Amino acid sequence: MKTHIKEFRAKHNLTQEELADLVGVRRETIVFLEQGKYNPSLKLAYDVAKALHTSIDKLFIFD
Amino acid sequence: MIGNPVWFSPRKYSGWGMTPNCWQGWLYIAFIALPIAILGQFTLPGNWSTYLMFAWSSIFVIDFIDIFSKMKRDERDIAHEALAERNAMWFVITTLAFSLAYQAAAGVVKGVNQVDPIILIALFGALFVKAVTNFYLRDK
Repeated sequence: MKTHIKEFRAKHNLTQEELADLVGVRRETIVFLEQGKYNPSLKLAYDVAKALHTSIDKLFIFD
Repeated sequence: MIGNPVWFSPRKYSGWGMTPNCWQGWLYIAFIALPIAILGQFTLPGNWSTYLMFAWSSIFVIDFIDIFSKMKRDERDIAHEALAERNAMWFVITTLAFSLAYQAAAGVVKGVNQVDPIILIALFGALFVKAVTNFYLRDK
């Protein structure tokens, strides 16, 4: 799995900590999400997409 | 209640429960331990030392449970914790089952019943907890 979380986060001037607070997870979870090492639940994927004003399919790319 | 969940982190590599992650957490531990240590130095009339220690400890057992339940965990933490606890439980159950088999076999050889009832209670208790959990999760 690849993600564009880092690019969208930079676009909205958000730090990992700020995004983590917005979606209610720890910063480490955002780190692993950005690295594509953690498959989030549908709810978390939706929350991250909403926080970054985009959609799940634009944020997460499943190979 | 008394302690703050942000003062503690769940133990991952050194057992169960929680460990302080800042000076406030250590102060809280000292706040609990100090009266118990002081009380142990004095002999109060009757069983008052025991009663006071029991009351003081009970307050903090309840507070520990409260802190632990309010500790911040996200879905990744919960998934990791569930897998780690499941693996630990498999080890415990395997050990208990082997112990039970060994005790039963040794009992047959000696012609006496030497099965430890505590092992049976632990195994059947775990079975009951698993069944109740699955029943609760059935429609979720």
